[in-house]
This record gives sequence, C-alpha cells and structure tokens, in this order.
Amino acid sequence: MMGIEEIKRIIPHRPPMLLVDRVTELVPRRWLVGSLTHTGDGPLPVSLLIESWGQAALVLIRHDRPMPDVLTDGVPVAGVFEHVRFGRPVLPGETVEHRVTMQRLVADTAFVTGESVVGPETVMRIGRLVGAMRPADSLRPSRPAVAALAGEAAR
Amino acid sequence: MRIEQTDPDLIVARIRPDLADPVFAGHYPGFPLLPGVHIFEFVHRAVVGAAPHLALDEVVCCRFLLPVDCDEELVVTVRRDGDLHSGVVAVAGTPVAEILLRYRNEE
Repeated sequence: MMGIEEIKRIIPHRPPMLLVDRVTELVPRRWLVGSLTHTGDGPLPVSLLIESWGQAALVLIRHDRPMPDVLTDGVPVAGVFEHVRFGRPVLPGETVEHRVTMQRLVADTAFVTGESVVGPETVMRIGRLVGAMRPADSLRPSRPAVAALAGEAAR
Repeated sequence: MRIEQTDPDLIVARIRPDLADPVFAGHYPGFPLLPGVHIFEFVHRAVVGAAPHLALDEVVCCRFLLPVDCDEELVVTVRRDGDLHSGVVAVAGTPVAEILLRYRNEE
C-alpha cells in the first residue's frame, strides 16, 4: 500500500496535477493497481482520466528509480497513446481504480496497457501508451516569461 | 479557445494557454510544461464545440511530436471523415501533435 506522500517521492507531479492518490498493488516491472478519488465538480474530464492512469503507470515504471524532481531526474513525456475507449464518466465522489500492465521496458521507453474501473464498471480501456524520459535541458522552455517563472519556482 | 472556422468537415481553432493557470504549478514545479493530455483536450473541445451532439468513443491514436511551452499559441485543425476526426495541433506552423478521434452521434 502506498499513499500520496510515497507517490510524491516517486513521480514529479504535484497538485493540482497530481492525479493518483493511492497504490494498492504493485508487482515490480509487471503490474500495478492505483486509484484516484475524484473530488472536483462535474464529471472527470477524459483528458484527466487518461493523465491519472498515466501517472499510475509512471509509478509502476519508476518506483525503483524515483524521479520526484524533473530538473534533476528528467521529464516524463508521453509519446503515443492509442486505442483508448471510454465507458460512462467518472462522477464527483467516485474512486476510479487504475490497472496498469507493463508490456515492455526498453531503456527509458516504456510500453504499458490497462484499464480503469469504478466498482464493477469499466470506464476506460487503454490499448497502449508509450512513454519516455527526457533530460530537462532538452525540453527547457525557451520563452523569457516561462524561463522567469521556472526560475522563481526553482528558488 | 476561439473557433475560427467550422463547416461540416473542417474546424480551425486557436488557443493560448494561460501561464497563470494553476495546472503549471504542478506540471511541473520549476518547469512548466503543457501536459500532453491538454493538447488532446483542445482537439476534443474543438470538435464538440462545433458539434455538441457528438460523444467521444475512442482515441484511436494520439501522437506527440514536440513539447509545448506553457504560453505558446496553438492552432488546432480538425478534418472529419465519417465518424473519425483527424486533428493536427501546431505551434508557429510546426505540428506538435497528431490526434485521431472517433465519435458517436448522440442526436
């Protein structure tokens, strides 16, 4: 069992974009079960449902190589996701459970698949997501305003 | 998001994310990057903004080509072919994502 503080030690996402708050099962490099309780108003947007599942996948991918700080540990980037199908929406107060299976891990590129459920109902199936890590320097925002904000936040 | 052109088979929209959006505080601290799923969301919003009777069935493929700074204007161009909507998101004329979505008609 892993709570939000342990999750924050593994992945770099932070509120309001930290979208996985519990891990209940984890078999290293094979599979993971995690969850998010939707506390917002209205249905959870499908984009955030995908992001939440992706963060659960990142916990599986990086639990043995934590990356809590993108500036020093690298930036997780999604390359491709495909064949993502949706059931009914996730409603306020509901807990969505993410099931993630690792298909392949080649260097820093991971191939994962899985689904999300609310109780007995499947709300999303993920055909495949391909994610990778990139050094922050290779992605560093170039615009002055962004650089200034990044500098402030880093201080 | 500003939808500039919409007809049965073509939608063009523009959006400039707000640097002050709290999302950037968490994605990521000290390194604000536009989440890829937001780029997907812009395409989806362009489609349902132009055709509210459509409901998303499937993300057939979403391919991210380049990272996007958090204050860059994105131009979303979506072409429809039957139940498929093919979107290209570009920054300054350079594609940053290609997204193929399938919708069902809920009218």
